[in-house]
Amino acid sequence: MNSIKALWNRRIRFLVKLYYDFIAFQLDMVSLIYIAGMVIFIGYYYYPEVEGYLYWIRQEPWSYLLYFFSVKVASGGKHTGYLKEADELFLTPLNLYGREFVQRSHNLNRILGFVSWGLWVAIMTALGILTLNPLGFLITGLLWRYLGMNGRFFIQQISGKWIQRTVQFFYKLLFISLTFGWIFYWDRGLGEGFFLLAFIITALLWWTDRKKNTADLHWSRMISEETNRRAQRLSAIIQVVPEEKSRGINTSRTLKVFSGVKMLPFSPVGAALLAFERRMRRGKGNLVLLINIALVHWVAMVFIEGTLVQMILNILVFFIIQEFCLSLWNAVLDEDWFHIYPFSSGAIKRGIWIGSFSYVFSYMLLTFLIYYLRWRDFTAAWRFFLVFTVVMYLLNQFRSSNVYYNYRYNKRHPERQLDGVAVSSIKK
Amino acid sequence: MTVLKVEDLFSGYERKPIIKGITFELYKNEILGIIGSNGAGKTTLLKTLLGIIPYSKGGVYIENQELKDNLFAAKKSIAYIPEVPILYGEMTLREHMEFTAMAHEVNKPDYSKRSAFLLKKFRMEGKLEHFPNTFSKGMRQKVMVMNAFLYEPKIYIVDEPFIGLDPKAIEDFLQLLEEKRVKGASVIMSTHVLDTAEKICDRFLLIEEGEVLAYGSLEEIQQNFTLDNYSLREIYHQLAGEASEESEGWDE
Repeated sequence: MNSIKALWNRRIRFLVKLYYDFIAFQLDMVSLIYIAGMVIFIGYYYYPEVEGYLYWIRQEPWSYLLYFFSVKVASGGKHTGYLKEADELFLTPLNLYGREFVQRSHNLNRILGFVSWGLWVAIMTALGILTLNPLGFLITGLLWRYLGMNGRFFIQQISGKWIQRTVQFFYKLLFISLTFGWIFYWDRGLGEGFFLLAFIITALLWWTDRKKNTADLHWSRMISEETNRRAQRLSAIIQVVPEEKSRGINTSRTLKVFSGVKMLPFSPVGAALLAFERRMRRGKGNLVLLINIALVHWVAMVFIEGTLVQMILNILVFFIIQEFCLSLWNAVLDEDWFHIYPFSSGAIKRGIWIGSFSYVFSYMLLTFLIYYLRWRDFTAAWRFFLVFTVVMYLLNQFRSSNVYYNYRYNKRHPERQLDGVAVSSIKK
Repeated sequence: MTVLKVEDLFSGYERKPIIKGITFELYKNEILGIIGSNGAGKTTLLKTLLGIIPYSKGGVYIENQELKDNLFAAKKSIAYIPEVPILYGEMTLREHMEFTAMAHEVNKPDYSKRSAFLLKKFRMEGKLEHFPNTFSKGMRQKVMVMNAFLYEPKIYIVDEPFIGLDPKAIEDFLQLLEEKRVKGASVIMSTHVLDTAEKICDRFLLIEEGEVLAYGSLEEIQQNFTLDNYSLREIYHQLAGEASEESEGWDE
């Protein structure tokens, strides 16, 4: 294997792992099952209504919205080089090795473009809302997408911030106009025009591809822009803040009222809960995601009438919130201080139990309050609350024991297993 | 009186141990200096004493109790100042101090008194609501030092404490350490600052590649190796073979 290919493969594996970590954190198996379950369940339950919406969206003027959105998907995508700052040195001469590296990245971008556009076409075909030949639509959209990616790549290479922005503005304008044009012709059936359009785009794509592979590129700017963009994205979504950008979380300080223990007991249990609480609120707890789940759930509570649907929805959401808290505990207990400070088994067990159940319990209280306010049935709300409290109590007892067991016997980090047997994976 | 006893200790990797058969004792009221070059195994040794890294052979006894059988009790009697500060990105300085005090079951009045004293001593009063992750290197190290002095352990395990600290902070830190020593605590300190180590440590453990080079008070080591009137620095260079290496320049 040539060295550039090996380096590129390694880089992509690294980035995939980085993004996977984010996805795995945000969307673990439980969330995926939950989402799939919700979609299937609601889809099945409300099938007649869904069918009505699909029929409605095929009619004018709403169909234009769908067309526009489709072409927007087709015209999206960007060429990324997956470059790092050190590449300016490692890939020298850049016009030779750098170009080979970037070309590999662009090929990957095209595959990703094909997958995303292909998925969209597949969904439209499956829902029966695509009136054109799917294969022709797939190919034209794909060519359109690749052309857009090439165009954006050239604009990135223009020197001068303002010139670049101006060209970018006109390019967007042109692309939107062409998009509207396409929608208009699509709606009129296209015919030969469809093939003519595909031919023009292919020719343009071929020409831009040739230029892209031979033009002089502003390597240093391209590398720094890409690195910064990735750093911003990572800091926003993964919260992996690059050391040189910021060493804090969001800010360097907080107000006294938000700092320190307030309601927590001044004991090891309190210390464990303090670490958990602060991570939930300020760290990787992603409270926003939790609030989003809650809002969707509560809105659904107001509109859904079927008792069975509500029951299943409730248990799924309570379960997911509990799992969310417990996964956060796993991360908290991974920290070094939990292996250095004298936390007794009891303190950790109580901490995990209280930390996760308090969130689920408060959430259940609010949910049943909303239920009562909406349906004015106190007896039903009370019964629901009682049944769910018992179920979640037992479930929490079982799941928090699992988390404690993982911590105690270091299932997640066997190298820390303190049974006196050194293992080969110890990192210094 | 022996507070900590290490016997023929092997720890690190299963097939390739980093610590190879180290034996030493730590007495009450003493400061034991661990001296060694980079990669000699100092941090691994300290982490083994803390129970973070398990040991495969030999034993670690804290007040005659084997570490691995009494990990909880051992952790209660140790304070650790790591070489690289271990800080929570999402916790303020106040929360770090409270977390430590709560974990070590310090009561609230004692905590208030001690934290106020330490914050004043290390000139950090105005930083209570700040996130230590945003601090400079020295200030982050001060957070670790303050945390360690919040409770009353029997043993202080200190790994390269002077890195990043300003001269005043080093002075204050050493003064506090001395006070604790006088009150009955023992200290194991790993450091590269040999002149300071010679002044403050009662005995030394010189290690290289995970093995003991020399062990004892300065006088004992001078006697054992017939290096009379040698300073700690000279002894270390002599034993570690650095003096001879220095003469081998690039030209050779």
